Amino acid sequence: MEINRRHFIALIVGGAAGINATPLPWKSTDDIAIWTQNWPWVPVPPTGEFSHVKSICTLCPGGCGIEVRKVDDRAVKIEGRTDYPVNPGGICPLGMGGLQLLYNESIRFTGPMKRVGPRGSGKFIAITWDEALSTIAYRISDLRKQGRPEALAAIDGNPTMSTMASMIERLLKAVGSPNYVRIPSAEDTCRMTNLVMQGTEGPMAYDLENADYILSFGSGLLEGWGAPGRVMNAWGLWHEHTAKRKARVVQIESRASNTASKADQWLAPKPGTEAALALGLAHVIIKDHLYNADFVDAYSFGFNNWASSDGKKHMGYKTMVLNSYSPDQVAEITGLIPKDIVALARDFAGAKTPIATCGKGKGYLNGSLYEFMAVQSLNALVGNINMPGGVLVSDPPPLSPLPQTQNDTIASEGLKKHRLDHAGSGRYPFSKSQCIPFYS
Amino acid sequence: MKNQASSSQKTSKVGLISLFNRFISFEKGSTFLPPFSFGVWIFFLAGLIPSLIVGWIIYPMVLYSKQPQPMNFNHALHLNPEIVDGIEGDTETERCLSCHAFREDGTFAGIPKLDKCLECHDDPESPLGETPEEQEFLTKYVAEEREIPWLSYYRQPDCVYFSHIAHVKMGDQDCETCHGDHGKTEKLPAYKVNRMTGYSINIWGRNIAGYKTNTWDRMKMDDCAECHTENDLEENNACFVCHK
Repeated sequence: MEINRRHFIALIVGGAAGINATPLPWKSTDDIAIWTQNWPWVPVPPTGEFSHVKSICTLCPGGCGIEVRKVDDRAVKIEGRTDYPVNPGGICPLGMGGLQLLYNESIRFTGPMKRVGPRGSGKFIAITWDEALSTIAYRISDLRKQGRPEALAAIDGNPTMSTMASMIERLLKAVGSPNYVRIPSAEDTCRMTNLVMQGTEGPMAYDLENADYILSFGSGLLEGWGAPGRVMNAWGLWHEHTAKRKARVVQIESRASNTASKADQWLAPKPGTEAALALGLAHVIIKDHLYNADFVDAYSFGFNNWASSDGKKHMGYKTMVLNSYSPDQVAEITGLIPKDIVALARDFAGAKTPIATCGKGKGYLNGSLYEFMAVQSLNALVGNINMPGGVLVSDPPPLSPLPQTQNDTIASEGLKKHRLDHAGSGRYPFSKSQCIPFYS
Repeated sequence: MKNQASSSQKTSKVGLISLFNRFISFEKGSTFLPPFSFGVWIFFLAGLIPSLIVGWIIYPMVLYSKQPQPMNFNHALHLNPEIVDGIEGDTETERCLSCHAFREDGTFAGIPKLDKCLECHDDPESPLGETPEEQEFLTKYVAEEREIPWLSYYRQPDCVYFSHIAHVKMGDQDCETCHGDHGKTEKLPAYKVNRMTGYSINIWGRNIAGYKTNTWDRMKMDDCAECHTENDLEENNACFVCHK
């Protein structure tokens, strides 16, 4: 039999007819559709029992309350807590994305690392916790044997007054070193401002939700300033269409930050001249008699010129701002337009519950004490301190103190030494700790 | 032209085979069309029969991979109240729910966790029965406090929202309606997983053609819809009821 083209065509037609008379093409079509929805790289949480665990976010010093949704033992979602005083249900994008830090182990350390190359080379190897603990314990006890426990310094990045921070501070005390160092942040400058102006060491607290005019001196309200979950929630309240009165946000910042771009008004003075602007606003407020005279008379000191007990005369706040910080003078310093300064001062003083906030950006860096004082003076001028929608004077949290450490002779001797950073000395009387500058 | 016209008239008389022959024939103008030669039929069948074998027999064998369950579980034994004290309930569904329970929030727990087994099998040293499976269970899982990695026969894709409580409690459906006689088996059936989709064979059904005789033979979307329609609940066939 001669095999020709016809035979091949018959074979193919027979095959095609046969395959179509089986479930293969029809079921495969269905399966391929399901397969495309089940790519192995698409993360799918396992099925299991849902549960919620309440916790506190530690990704920034804000300390928002969070609720973690879990499927069996696996965390699958981070949400803001609604039953927590810091943040009424709000959470910031970083807190929400915290799971990525948990599961992407390539972007964080999962255990102790030991430097093996020269300093700065970035060469580290993973070591066990046992090795890490014994190495550090050996080095510390060695310093103590040499009689110089003060050579141990700890740089602590945990939030102020957190349990971890207290523990590290106590460890240093027990070892005998005064050199417990924290990276100064806006919180420290706020504490110093309160200490100098109000005699309390508590942090600065703002009733943002009830404020109707927010004069932000560089505070990154939308970028992680304060407790982000709460501040962003307050921002939402200020801009709610149903709100009785909308709050006005004025951002004073040299940089066109996200907050500046979303604020109702943005003023960009030359970097570092914010304090002068604050005093310039005070000039207009005092000159136009827009300040709260009752509050100033009853609760302030040094507004007018005064004389100390030795008969020495001192210049008062009023004289200083009226003499040296007129809109024209301030415009010269800050690079702003005089009529903008006047208008801003009048708006601020005319608002019902105006707040001037300080602490630039996320508040991770300390600011100028003088600048913070100048800004806080504005709050005092409008009498919006300890009022709803104002600045609240708060004492440090009333936590019961931890038991005293039992210091041995070496520790007691070490604690008598000066701090390396001169914090609390005559040079930096209000500072508790600082990393820069180290003057010898 | 004339020839073509007359030949087409002729083909309509001799039927389909001649017509087919006409298509594969290039003898233009030929008025006489021979039937398929024997050889052509052989080749047609040589294509047809193997493809039928591939589609009906080899394809299902290749598509599904058979995986053993970690151990056997005797549903019939555990559901017998005369043997097992802990099984309570008047109806079969209630007895199923003693282990395949609803959680406090109303979600369905599915395959029980080890904790559930430990409610009765709490001592690895003293078996409650005499079966080798129980021995294996006590030594391998209870003693080591390890969860049994059961393979689920009835897991739906993640894009499908299915609420057991809506069907069992509110809809008053029996477990059997969808799960058949699973609760009466002494041996767990073979678990077969679709290599392409990763889902159990029970979703498409064990019949490769998708042919079903019982309500529990298949768990595709059409089967959900069929039951909804039969129970006058056509509104539940809307997309977002299940694909949320």
